[in-house]
Amino acid sequence: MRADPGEVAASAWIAVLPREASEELLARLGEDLRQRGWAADASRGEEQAILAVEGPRDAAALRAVLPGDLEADVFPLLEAAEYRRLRQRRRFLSALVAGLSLLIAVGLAWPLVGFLEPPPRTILAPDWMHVPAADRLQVGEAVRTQVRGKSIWVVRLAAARWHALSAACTYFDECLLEWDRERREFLCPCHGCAFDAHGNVVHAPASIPLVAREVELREGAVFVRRAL
Amino acid sequence: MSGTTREEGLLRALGRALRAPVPPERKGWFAFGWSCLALLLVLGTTGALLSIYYLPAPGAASESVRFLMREVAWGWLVRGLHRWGSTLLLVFATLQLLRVFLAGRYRGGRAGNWVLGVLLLLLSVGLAFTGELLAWDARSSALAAAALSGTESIPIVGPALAHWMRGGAEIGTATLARAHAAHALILPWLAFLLLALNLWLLARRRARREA
Amino acid sequence: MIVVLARGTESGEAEAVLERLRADGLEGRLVRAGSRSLIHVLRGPSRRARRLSSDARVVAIVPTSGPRVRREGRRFYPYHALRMGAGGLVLLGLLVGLAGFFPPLAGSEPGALAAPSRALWPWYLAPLRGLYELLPADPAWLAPGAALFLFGLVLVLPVLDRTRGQDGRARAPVLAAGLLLLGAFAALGALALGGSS
Repeated sequence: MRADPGEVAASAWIAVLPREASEELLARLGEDLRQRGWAADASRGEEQAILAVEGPRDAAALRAVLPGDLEADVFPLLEAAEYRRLRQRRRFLSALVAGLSLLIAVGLAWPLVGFLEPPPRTILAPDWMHVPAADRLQVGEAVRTQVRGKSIWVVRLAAARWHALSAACTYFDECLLEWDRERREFLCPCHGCAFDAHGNVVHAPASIPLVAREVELREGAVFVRRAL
Repeated sequence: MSGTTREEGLLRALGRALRAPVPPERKGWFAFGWSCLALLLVLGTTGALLSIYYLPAPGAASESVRFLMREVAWGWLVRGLHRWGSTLLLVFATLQLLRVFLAGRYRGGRAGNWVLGVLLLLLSVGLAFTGELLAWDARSSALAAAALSGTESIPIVGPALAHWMRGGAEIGTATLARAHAAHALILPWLAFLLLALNLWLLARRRARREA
Repeated sequence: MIVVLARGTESGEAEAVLERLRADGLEGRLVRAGSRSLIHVLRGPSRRARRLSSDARVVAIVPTSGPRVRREGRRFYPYHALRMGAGGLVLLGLLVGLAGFFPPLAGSEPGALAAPSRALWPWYLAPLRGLYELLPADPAWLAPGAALFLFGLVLVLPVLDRTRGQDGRARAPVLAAGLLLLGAFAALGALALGGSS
């Protein structure tokens, strides 16, 4: 609200003085001003004393009348239109600040809500490992992954049935099995062993079936047990 | 003028404190101290959010952290804010102490604030360190082992202190549980108390200056 | 607080506004300077005076804290409160930026104990680590003792520095000692972080 007194072309001013300013000082100042052609009136309140003046000169001339050591704030008395404009600007700025704050609050709240929402793949006991690739399998497809350093195959046999089997050939465990989709079998590239989708031996020279691991389906996520 | 009830008096005092004039501040310097307070708030909030998903047991801990990073919406952000917040807190706290030292504003009546500040810095380091342990991966185990062996070499109290921190003869479940308790509850509570004391001292000095 | 009235307000209307103020528990005085008239609120809760702004005769309500603002500083709320709020937001933005561009990595597999390496120690413990590396390992209490001693020095600084006032010369030794200590910490940290393995 306070514009620089030297710049505004107003002819009416208010000088705000400390409330300690005495009645005599105010009276004397009023007289000085009136002698110089100003119209002046003073008032002394609980918080401050004020001098209201209207005159042909600018704020610098007003300040010249006031004693140098007096702490005075001088600001102009504006026209109604100017006050209205200032009010509008202040309201606009307040609205802007409020809008921004709201935006920031929403910006913070929205991820927070997302964070608190339990993710669909709930944590099971640490013994179960989530295999994200297995979630996306079609029926008849399989994916190979590792559990505790051991390779396993996770194969989807039906709409809601997954199997997890060891991927190491039981004849020679250095060889990793491949999944044959048409035949629905695990084939060993080394010696020609074959296992069916349940781990049973289908073709020699293997003789020991594949070890299966427990599989759990939870909310569309496939979990394989870490322990055998 | 005091209120009829104690709460009224407190509220009014708070309102008065909020409306009271603040002496014109010195130009220049960034508000390190208040930034530390803001950072502590952020750390507390993100820490609380993280503790919703974190599991403080040796097998589950690192898995829960990975779960948090991958599956939880914005989990990576909350964890990132928490980590960076701790880094910034340490930096700002050090800078604040440095600035107070250079300005000489630790003498006389301000000695209490200085001591509290140094202790708070120590607490922050402790919080950061225990936080690192919570991931309970290879690095954490190594860190814990190294820290404990360092603690043991402290004269007189070392071995007993290390035994307490370890929670037994070997690093294991108990160690993680103690690290978690320290990081999530004990140290933050201590920090809160020291902080409250610090702010109270500041407020008291300002009130004295007003009178 | 000053209630500015419209130009050319008659004394009757001005009195009416004064009456309204009085009804609200405020005491005011009519002040006339030439063609401008205003009411100086002498006593009472200024907040209530703001209600007058809806009155058609009132042009503006001007607060006048006066020179006290300059002398005693601004009120905490809203000035400093808003400034600190803005600063807090900036800080938060910085944090989010850092977390966004430098996200934390998920840790390695649990259990496997890797040999402690340089990269093991967090940066904020680097000075402590440097101290341990610098001092001989035997006697075993030397390094922790030194660390505790240095920490103690910093802690009881107000006891050690009994100077008063802003006199630079008196504080010079303290400042020098402090900066030396700081330099030592930094050097130790650098030693720990970048030294030979």
